[in-house]
Amino acid sequence: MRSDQSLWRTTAQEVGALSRNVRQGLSELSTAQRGLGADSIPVTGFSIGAAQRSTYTSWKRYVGLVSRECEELTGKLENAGNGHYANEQDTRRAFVTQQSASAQHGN
Amino acid sequence: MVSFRSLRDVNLEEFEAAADGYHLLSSTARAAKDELSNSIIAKTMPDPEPGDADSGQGLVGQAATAAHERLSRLSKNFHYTQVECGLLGASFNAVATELRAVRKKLDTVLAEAESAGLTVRDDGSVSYPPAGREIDGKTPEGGFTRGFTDPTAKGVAAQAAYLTPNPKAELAQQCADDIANAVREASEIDERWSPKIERLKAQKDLAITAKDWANVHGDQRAVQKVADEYLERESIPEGKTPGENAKWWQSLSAQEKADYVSLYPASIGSLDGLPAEVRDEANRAVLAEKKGAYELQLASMPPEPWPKYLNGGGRAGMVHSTEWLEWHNRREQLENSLMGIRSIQDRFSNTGKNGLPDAYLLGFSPEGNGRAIIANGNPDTADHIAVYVPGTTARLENIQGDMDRMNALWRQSQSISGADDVSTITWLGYDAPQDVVTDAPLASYANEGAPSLNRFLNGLDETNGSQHRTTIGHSYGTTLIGSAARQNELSTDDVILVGSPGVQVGSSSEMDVPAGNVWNQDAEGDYVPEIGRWGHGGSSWEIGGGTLIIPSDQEFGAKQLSTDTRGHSDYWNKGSQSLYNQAAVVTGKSREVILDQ
Repeated sequence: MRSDQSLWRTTAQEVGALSRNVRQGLSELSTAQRGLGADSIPVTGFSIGAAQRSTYTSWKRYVGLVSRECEELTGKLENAGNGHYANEQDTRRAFVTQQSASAQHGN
Repeated sequence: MVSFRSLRDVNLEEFEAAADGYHLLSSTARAAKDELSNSIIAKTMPDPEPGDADSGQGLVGQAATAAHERLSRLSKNFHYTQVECGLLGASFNAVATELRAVRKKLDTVLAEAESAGLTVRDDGSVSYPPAGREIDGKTPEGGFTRGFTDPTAKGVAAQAAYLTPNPKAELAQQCADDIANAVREASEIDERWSPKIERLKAQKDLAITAKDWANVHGDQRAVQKVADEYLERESIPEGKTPGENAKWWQSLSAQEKADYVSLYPASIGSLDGLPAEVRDEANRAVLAEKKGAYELQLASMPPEPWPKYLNGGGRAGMVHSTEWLEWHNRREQLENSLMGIRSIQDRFSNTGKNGLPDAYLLGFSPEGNGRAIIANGNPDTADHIAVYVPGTTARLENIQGDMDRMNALWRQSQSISGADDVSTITWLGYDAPQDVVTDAPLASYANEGAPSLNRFLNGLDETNGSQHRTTIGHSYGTTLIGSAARQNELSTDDVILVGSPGVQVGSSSEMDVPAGNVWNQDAEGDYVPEIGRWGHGGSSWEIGGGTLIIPSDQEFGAKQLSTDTRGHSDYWNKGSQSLYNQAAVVTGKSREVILDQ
């Protein structure tokens, strides 16, 4: 039987790995946008390009939000695994609280 | 309006690069979703059965529940990202493909103009040099002309060019018109796609609501409407054999495959012969979108109409009002579909719990009685597969019970299969009779559903030809299996008939498998076989014709597996002999079965 603490820590590690993958994905998306700058022909000459810029911005923002959520959860899972929280209720409260900016009401 | 210069100078690879970027993000999101669903979340599940030998595998308590909720939501965020970015990737590929076609035409015109000595100016007008036979000692002057797409204007300009003494004028007009056409086509592409790309913006927060998934569904349909030039919906095989489906799929490039799944998940997800992973990805998107749409519809239903009853007059007495009935039926349909959908999603969440393997959704549709085909473990890579056909009253709404049986069979089979991989599949791929009294005696459900089973099994032939396969029927499901064997070639190695009321044929030799590979289970207190005989029993002329034979009869020729359970429904009870016998057949250990003496 595995101990609770080691389960929290393992989960933390796995979510942490996810976090890195997400950042990688975002960076690849960003690289792919290199030829689509504000002065580029796809953007100045096509409304698709212009629409694309605002769509890209929205995904950059959203994936950033998801990435921060991963990081916040990693931290909290680690804390749970290190006995950082005094008791069950405090641990629960940690997971119910949302810290990542511009996310709504913890749900 | 796209300008000539933009069309001429744009580097179309930038659009393709954008497509690649979104595809990569979609794949990353998918991998993250899978990782969460298949391994991470299972750790935060509370123990299912205290005192179980497997218990102690997960975290318990209110903290774990809170963590579980956050992680589940995170998984939905990834799924949403996967599907929407998939649509964006498909959209950019479509844009690039369509613009390339136009650019090719334009490049041809420009090349022709150059070799004819014409000059195409930056605004798309075409100038021509002095040329032609001298008139009054002078070569006719050069000039320039704009292109027209409007037929009347074109006609006028062509006429003028024709009348000009300079022979290059006509050619220049033609070129200019072709250029104007190309520009118009590019503008049309731009106008058509721009709002779709605008629409595929990400949402603003981490909450994934029913409305969000309904919006994804709407986005998908919006993109479908304009994507036909890139990926034709009609190209998707319909009513073809699994072999033809597989061949079509293999002819596609990797990008096209990804984009077909993004654009037409319902069509792709139902194609027998395609890899399990592809069907699973497509059907999971359909599941999420339908769930969102139905939850939204349920939430926005009007309040219960009043009155509920009306006087029907005379002998009818008080009857439900039509309005109430319509409201009630619609509500019930939505709630029932959602119940089945939630059961399937619960199965996804339970991956990893007590060793339950990845689930693959090989088929899903919520309309009518519903369709659901769910595999435990990847059937394309398994060494042993069991396909289970449920019987009367099976429908999407109560799929939980059937999935539980296949979970039990998977666990029992995997525990004795050594190094071999097992996959058990719940196949609700037909309209089962819903009423034991009125529907179950009818052969039509079996006869109409049988071809679907044959197609499904042939589909498995395409994706995994080397596995050992057992097809298991329960109750009316056995009748369907018999019908499948009768109508066509049942592609299976073993057949297990459980609580069978008859299989339409009178001998095990007609089940399309080698002798000795037809197994029957008929428990004490199971009344279905005997009652069913009169509706579904088969005949065997060797016994003097006209006798209706069911698999429980010795004459049928099946091997009778022993049972230690009672009644029509307990054959998959955990730890039972009944279950063990099935597992032994499924894993190819026929020597370990215990036969009825």
